[in-house]
Amino acid sequence: MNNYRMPPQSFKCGNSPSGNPCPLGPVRGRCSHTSSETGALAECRPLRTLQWWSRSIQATMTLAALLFVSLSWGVLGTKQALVPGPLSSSHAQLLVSNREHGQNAHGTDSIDRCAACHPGNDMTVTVSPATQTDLCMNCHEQQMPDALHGSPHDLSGSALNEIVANGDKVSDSETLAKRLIRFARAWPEKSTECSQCHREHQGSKHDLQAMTSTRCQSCHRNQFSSFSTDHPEFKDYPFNRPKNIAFDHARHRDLHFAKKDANFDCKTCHLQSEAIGAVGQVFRSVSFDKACAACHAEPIKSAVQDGLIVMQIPSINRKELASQGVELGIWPSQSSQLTDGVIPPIMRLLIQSEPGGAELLTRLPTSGRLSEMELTRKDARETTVELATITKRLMQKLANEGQPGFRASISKLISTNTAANSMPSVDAKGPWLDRFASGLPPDLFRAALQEWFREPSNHNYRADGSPSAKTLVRLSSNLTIPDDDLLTGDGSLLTQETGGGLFDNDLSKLKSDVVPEPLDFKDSRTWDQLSYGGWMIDRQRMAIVYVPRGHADEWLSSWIELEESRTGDASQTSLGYESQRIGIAQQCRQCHALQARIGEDGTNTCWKSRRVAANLRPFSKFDHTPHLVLSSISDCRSCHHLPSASSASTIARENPKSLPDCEFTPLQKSLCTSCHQANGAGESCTQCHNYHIGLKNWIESKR
Amino acid sequence: MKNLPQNHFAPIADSLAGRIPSMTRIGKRLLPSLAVLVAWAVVRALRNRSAASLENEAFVTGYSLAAVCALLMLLGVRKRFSTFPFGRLAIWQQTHHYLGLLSVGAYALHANFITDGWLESILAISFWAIALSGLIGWYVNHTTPRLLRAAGRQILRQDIPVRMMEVADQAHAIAMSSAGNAETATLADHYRADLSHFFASRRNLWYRICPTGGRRRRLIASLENISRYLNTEGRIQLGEMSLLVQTKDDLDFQSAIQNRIRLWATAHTWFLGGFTVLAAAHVLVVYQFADNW
Repeated sequence: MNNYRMPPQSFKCGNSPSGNPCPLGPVRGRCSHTSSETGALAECRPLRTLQWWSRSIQATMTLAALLFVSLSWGVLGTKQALVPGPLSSSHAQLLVSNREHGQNAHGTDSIDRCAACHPGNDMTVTVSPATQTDLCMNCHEQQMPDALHGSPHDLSGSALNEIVANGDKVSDSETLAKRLIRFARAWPEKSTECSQCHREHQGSKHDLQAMTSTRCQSCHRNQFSSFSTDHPEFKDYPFNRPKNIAFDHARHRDLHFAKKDANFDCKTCHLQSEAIGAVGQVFRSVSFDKACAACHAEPIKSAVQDGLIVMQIPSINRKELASQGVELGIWPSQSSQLTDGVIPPIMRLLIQSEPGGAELLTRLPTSGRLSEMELTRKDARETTVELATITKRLMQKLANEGQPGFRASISKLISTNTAANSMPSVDAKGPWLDRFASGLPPDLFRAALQEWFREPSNHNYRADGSPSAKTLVRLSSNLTIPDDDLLTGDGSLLTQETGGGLFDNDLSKLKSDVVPEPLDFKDSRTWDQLSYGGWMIDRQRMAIVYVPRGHADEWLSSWIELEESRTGDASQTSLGYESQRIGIAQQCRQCHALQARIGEDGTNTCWKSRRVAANLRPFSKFDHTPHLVLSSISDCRSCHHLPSASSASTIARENPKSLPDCEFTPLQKSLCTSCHQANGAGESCTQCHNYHIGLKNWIESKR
Repeated sequence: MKNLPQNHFAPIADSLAGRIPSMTRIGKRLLPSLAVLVAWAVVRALRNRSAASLENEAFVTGYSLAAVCALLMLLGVRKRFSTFPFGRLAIWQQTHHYLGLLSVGAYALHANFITDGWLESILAISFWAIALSGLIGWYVNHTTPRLLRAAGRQILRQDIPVRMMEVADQAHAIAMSSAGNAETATLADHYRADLSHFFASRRNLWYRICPTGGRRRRLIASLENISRYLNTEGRIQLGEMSLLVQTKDDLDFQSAIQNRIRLWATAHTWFLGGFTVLAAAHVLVVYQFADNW
């Protein structure tokens, strides 16, 4: 039996506190007694019970809540009171209302802030087809332009397939990459959204990029529940990325530095102490001037001191030629004694750019030595005359047309290149060609032309009576000499229309009165006059010579790049090109892994050390700076072990392209796990790995 | 003076203490506690599984919390339908208490004790107000039976004013009877000066919040001080008066304690309606804006 008398009512008798309530109690808040009733009880004023007060408070609270929700959502329409928390500072500033224009930086009204990120939440009936991720990418597209949203790591199926192909076997049943693929295939019905990992409304100081390993372990749970115990051993970390600069650490440390008794300190080259940071910025490499010049500057200068022969007047035995009935015409006497010499590599390329040049080169001795030509043979004589003609024509062209003519010649070389590693189209290489042509001095060619071809010669060129030979030596009709040219002041000497011309033995029109007296040039070594590089006429070698200024000479670099782009071209091989490469370039190739990789700005990135682009996001990342702060591992060698020079892979100087990828001993995971544990420096996946990779980063990181 | 049986109010104390006679000590404390822990572990496991699936784990914990809250509200339904055979109220109350603990754990998983924003903050305040009032009420319920038994006589709250009236009448009668005799008139004088107000009035607010026996000891001591002015009959009346002082003080004590229980019991429901409205709004907001989940 219940011992309670009755459920609490809203009112109780006013006499209750005195202990003398009426048995009936109040009725609807009024005393049930009247003054006419007899008895001891007087009419009272009923009292509110605790139950009544409780219900009243409860109802008030409920109404207040309803009012709050209604005002926040329905009436005011701002919905700001419904926001679960402040946005992170990076997003909040985008939504700050512009007081002047009534719009925020996002272009939306301040009232409509929610709709900036929440599609279809502007309280209208319009249903937006865009998803929240689409809205995110409206702003973040630039950071991830090639990301495939909704796919793991923003990668395409082919990229993920490649991971499968190269993935490490971490499990007998399933590799990580296969798991990734399976995840990706199942994903279209359940695509990844930005908000799945980047949780907003956690406050202005919340780090949106902070991620728990749980997120990663949605796929990697079985393999990577713990870094120290489950993460696979590093295979080749730091990765075997191909290098542009073949610096052999072991040889330098054990041979070169040891020989000089110098301290081989990593930080000298890889740490820039004056930079910002606790230990300065860590670089993969530093400049040549800082790291290499002390030892390598002089040898490079010595190697280039003889200069680079751009054009050279071939030495031809005029007498022997004349004895065979062929007159060479105006030709420098220094180059008329005997048939000898080698066509310089650059000149070969220029000849090749001329009409008939490539065919002419095929008729030259494969060794390149002109002395092997037997002028007693008619074809050799024809070749010799043609070589002389094309040489002169080239000189004329460079003197007349200058840099545009030179540029056209190089463009032609590029366009006819069939090598697999050739450069892209000529149009795409415009800046590179511009830079290449900018160094050519036409005045120098003009001066050389004047000097070498000014003297009237009795050895006018005559055909030997053979119609074919006569045809061979005729020059093109539009060939002109510079305005003050001694040979053809009126342009008639070399023109076919005059019926005379240079090769028709008609020198009567030579203006002997304007022939200057021979100048007394002091024939010096080029290096004596061009200590800092430049162009000059080498009268001893009868050549136009370019003297590189030393390391990183742009004009020489351009030639080597052009030469490199033609490596593998079958036509070049048939011309004996491989044996006629630019000699100085061999010096360059000792350290530089050259490739024809011309950028849009016309520069070749292969000359410089590979730098990790600031926006490159490979799968793995590592920041040296916080590690170098620790005294125990502040020495680079505590992690990067370098074998001795005898066992280390050394530079393959014979084949510079086979540079060692990584001469250091691959890092062991134990180096990291000694600190990176759950209760130590942390073992979160995102400490060392990036999630958002994207195709561009994926491709770039593989290069 | 009527002597009420000592075990007359035992069911009240048992009810307040959630005592179920058939259950052992293990069944009373340990098993429900373990059940709460297991249920919390299940919710936590579901949350982790949801997070591992790149889902929003707040949905799992939120619905778990909502389910627990719904179960907690069933106690009110049970009280309103006390005639239906839904089990003993004491079992319902004990279940309610442990579910309350579970709700705090579920809330911790859902919101990590950190909330921001107006709606979320008010909702959190409502939840904590209900939870804290429940926890305090639980503590009061557990400590009250011991206090009530220490007071000797347990009496229904609504009977206390009547009993006070009876005690006051008895004290007044003793005082009146002592007033006619010169050798006992001192007791009447003392009653008129110090005791009449004690018997006729309610205790002050401080006593109702924190009842103590200080005034009771002072009054009894003052009665003992006047015994030397009384004859034998007067000392007998003095003894009866002293007993009435103790009875009145016990009634005041029980009134204060039982009012405290009722206050926390009602305070526990003050935020219930508002919390329900805000929780519903919270769910609507979630589904309105978290459209990707």
